[in-house]
Amino acid sequence: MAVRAACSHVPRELLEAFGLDASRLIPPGTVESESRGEARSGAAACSWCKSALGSLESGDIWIGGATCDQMRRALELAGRAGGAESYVVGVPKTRTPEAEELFVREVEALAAELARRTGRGLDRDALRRIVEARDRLRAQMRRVRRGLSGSEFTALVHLEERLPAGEMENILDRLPPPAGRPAGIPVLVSGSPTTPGELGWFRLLERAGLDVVADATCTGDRSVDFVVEIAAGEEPLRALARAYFRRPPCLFSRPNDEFYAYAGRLAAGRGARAVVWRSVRGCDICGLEAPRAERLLGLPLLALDMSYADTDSIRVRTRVEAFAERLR
Amino acid sequence: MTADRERPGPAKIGYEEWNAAFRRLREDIGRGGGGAPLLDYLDTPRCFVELEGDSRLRRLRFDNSPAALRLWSFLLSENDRLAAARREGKKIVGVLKDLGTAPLLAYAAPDVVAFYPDGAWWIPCLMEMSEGLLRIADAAGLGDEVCPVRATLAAFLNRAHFPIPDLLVAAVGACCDDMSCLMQRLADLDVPLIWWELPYRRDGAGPALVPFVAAELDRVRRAVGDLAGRRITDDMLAATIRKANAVRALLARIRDLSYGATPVPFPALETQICEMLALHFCSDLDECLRVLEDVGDEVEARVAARAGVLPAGACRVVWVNPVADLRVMNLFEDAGGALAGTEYLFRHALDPIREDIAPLEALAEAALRDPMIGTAAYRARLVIDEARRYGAEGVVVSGIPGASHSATEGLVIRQEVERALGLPVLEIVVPPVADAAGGQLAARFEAFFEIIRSRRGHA
Repeated sequence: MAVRAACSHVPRELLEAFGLDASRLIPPGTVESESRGEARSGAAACSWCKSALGSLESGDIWIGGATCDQMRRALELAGRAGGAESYVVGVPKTRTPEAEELFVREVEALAAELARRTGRGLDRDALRRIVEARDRLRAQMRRVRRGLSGSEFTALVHLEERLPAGEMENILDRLPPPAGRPAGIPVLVSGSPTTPGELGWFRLLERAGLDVVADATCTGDRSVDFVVEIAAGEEPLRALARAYFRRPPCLFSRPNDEFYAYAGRLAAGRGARAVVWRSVRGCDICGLEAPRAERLLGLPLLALDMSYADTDSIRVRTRVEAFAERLR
Repeated sequence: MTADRERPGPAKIGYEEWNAAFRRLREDIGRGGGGAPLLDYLDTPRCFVELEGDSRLRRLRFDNSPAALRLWSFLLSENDRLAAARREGKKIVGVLKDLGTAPLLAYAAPDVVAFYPDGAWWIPCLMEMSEGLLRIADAAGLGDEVCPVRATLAAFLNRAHFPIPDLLVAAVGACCDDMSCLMQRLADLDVPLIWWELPYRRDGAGPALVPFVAAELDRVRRAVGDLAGRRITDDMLAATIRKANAVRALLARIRDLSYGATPVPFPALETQICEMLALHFCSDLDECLRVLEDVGDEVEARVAARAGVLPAGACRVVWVNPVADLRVMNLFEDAGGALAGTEYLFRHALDPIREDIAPLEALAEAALRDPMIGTAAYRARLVIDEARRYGAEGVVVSGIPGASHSATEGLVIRQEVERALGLPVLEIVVPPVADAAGGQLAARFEAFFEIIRSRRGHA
């Protein structure tokens, strides 16, 4: 059974503990997939959801979070499109202890659903093992981060999100030492998550003289900046859910102060001098935050609103180059 | 309310006719209840245009009854009522998103009134953009990509429309992205704000969430109690729930009569306003009851007399989503349509709240029936139930430009309605002032009604 975790709030370790072929659904981010998805969603859905729907494969089960409105509705559409089934985990927006407990119960409900579908119970030892393996991977990726460019690190995150832990461990073990990064103006990237189709956009930033030293999206540093700690005697499933709730939160949380505290620390710690705030077309949660982000992060900010046709467009290239000029 | 003299039969009248009829109507209303004093909020439509700037009234057509005039005056005078409450030292709670639940916590406290600042989404329509709210919102970073609810932020910034609340109560969770972003922007303002979680409801998972939501509402209750300087007890809350249920019972009667009878006894615009009163009672729960009693009596009398405001052959449809431009409801009826059910985003606010369980649990149950926090398929089922109940011949899904839920749910509703009932579905998008789209909308309504009429021929 192929399971696709359609959101970083879905604990992938749980899916893997059930022995499932579980990878994160990161849409291709191509014009073709966006167009194909639009036929399923209508024109007004965000580019990420359209591209995801356009990549729908028969037999998949999509497990996603009720994170933003568009995401949960895209999951419903995926379930109706005939090619996939879907399950939505309730992800609270508030950050209270009660909300955390609600999320723990949601993850327990997911475990029960997986047990029902697979016909086997949760193997707690298997869960512990996969949690340890994924934690090791995240730690390794944090270690190599500083030697990698923004595009290289994003590619690595995309790989980690797709591959089984063992395969990813092999890749990281064989990773050549960094070739040395070209000097550039250090920037933080934030906003919507990025797709493989947008690696070219990272390279566009790099060619313009920007060095993406930090990435606060869930396909950047935020994807590896947490640890699942299982206390002695603690139920591993609860510990896993708690860690996913407590990881640096997404922008959709309310209030989203914790996100900005994280992004601010990340930017300061890596010496970022500016922010590139990129939101995919139709994403309110990221797009509408740009004015707040500029104020709260206190750095020069370039706000880009992009469909996947814009990845290397002249419009975007000109704006990026003008921004880089301003920073020099 | 009864009229002693003979009144003209039910009809829809224009702005000038409405002003001309005002003197007679005002006297009729004044005589209601055995010579009761004239209602202080009752005013001519012209007055609301000239003093409040509600110029859209000039272009609307209204029901000609005293009950409708009272309804309109009650609606349009809300900001005055809120300002008066502030002068009297009452506390004002601004409720965001949840639609119909949290206001009861406020009304349970003495000297507290609640309203929905997000109701500001109608100001650009009512004032025909003359107030500049959407321009202010745009300058503040909420542009055309956001639903017209963005006018709310502008109304907070220019402080020209409603009193700034003493407390904001923001329901976040499985709400639409536009509201979520708007609420985050309001949280930056210098107004105390309490967030509460209105979680996503998987099909069938509502009951398990009741204790959680009840606890969230208890936090809100304590915050409102602190504001009021008095603890809100279960008994106080139970009494408010009983009153809210009286409102909901009246609305059920009005809906059944208006949507189920032929000829249609009461126009779409006015029934929409009636339904909206369920949300926060237009800042006066007791008067809201009296206004709706009036409307109910009027509609009942018309049904008994087989008198209506629309031709008997009007095409009966369920309407989905409120319209940002009120004039579109006129346009819809002028083209030959009639409402046979609605789902204006807040069906849960029309259902009775249980009185046989603890009040907070009852409110939590009610909040968890919110059609917007579950699947679009759930909402489609409400539309289907409504169509069956009132014998609708079609469904109009009125999209809200920029609203995240409107991006995809029309598709699901269409598929479900066609599958379950085989009814035609029309999807439209209505901007805050739809004049430029008027010809296109009229043509689409007419074509849709032609389809419905041709199906009658084949039935």
